[in-house]
Amino acid sequence: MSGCPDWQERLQGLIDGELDAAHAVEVEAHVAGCAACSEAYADALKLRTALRGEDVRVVAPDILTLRLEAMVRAAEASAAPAAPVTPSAAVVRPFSGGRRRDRALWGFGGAGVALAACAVLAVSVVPAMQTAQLEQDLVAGHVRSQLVGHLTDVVTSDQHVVKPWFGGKLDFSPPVIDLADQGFPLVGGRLDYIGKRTVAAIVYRRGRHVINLFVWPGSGELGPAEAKPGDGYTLLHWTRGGMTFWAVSDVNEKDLQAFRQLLQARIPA
Amino acid sequence: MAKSSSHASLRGVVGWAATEPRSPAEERLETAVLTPASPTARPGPLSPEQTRRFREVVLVHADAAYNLALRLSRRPDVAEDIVNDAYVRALGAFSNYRGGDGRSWILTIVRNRFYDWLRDQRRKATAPLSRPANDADDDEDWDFPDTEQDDPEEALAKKSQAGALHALIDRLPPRLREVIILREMEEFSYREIAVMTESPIGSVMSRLARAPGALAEAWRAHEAKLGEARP
Repeated sequence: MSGCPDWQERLQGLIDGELDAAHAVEVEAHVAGCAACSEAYADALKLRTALRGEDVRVVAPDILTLRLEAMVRAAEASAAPAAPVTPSAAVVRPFSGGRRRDRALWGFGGAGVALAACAVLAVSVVPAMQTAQLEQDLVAGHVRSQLVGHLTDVVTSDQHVVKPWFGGKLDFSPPVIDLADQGFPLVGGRLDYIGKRTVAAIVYRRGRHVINLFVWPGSGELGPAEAKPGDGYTLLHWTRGGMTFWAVSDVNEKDLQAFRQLLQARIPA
Repeated sequence: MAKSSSHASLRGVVGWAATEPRSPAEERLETAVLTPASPTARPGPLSPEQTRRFREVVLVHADAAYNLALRLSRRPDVAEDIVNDAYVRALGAFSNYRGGDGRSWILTIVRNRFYDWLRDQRRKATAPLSRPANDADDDEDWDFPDTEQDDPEEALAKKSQAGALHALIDRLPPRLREVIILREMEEFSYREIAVMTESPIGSVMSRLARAPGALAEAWRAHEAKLGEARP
């Protein structure tokens, strides 16, 4: 072990994004001033990249997949001629993913519609670039999420609920990080459809404003993080850990940049 | 969110209802997860709706289940049996499913089935037991001899990066193998891993601090060796 033994757990905690802001700062300060720990930190990040590389996580052999599928089909078949359900079996059990608050809370009403129209217009006059259509989709997604009262499919401030919720619905695992302690509380998540693919939309709040963070895998051909303010809406994109992130909100650019930096600090590269 | 203060207490991480501990210990989480809503509710045949849900919630994680089973058992034939057995149990218990993360559930069952198998191996073992030198957890770190394992030099000389990493992971004791897989490949949080492995969060943290450390050094040595081949 190359780092300081006393800092080992906290160093790992930092790498795993399991430290609160105060501890993270403390560990980062130590790493900055300690050659051994800084080396251990670099090693750990390299290892992480390697472990998440291609083919490290193996897939089930086809024969096993077929066996499992046959098993499920058999269970279904055996149930087909089953007797009428017993009262106990008929009880509808609460599904934990279904906890929802009043969605009307998020409807912004008529003002929102007008604002939305402005926003879409504003984006459509952005110089024609390869990302123009994408940005339009993103703002539309952000606006739509508030207009139709469909901000979130899973409403919870618990990142450990939001992340697994995405688990069964996407072919990738978006990082879900609560930033409540930094003034950006996690509200929930939903699926959205951007650029011809299903993406994760992770919803945060900043005061009364909503931030939609769209996430999908791939680094694309996008340049470095940049803000594109336009008529009340700010778009910010960056890539990290093999994922593309787009933050869309009507908060000011400074706040959105801060939001990005806070997330960056907790998402492994 | 995950603050150091929250490490002290585990709350409903994956949305399963908790119940009082039962023995044998390895059954605890599986049954806790599936505590029947009423005493008369029991595993039974599944409706088409339930099997559809089972596919969505549990069957989709077959790759994750196999990956964990293979890294734990280190033998493809055993891994297949473990996964198969885990899914038989999951299917049997699914009529009591009350929501929650299907992946952590099936992986917990896979993990428990692996330790069952490991105990059987130990009972049958006639070969000398392999025990890691830093055997702090006593029996918990017992591992069966890995007959497939090359010596360290050979392991690191593997051509593919994935192959070399597998060899390095396979040399760790099972308690470290499992946290590496759950954390680095499945990306569960410390709290989720603590629940799945029925360990205090402090143990998870110390294992996670130990396991990648050992791996990272070996990996760096490996990369240094291949230095010329990589930019």
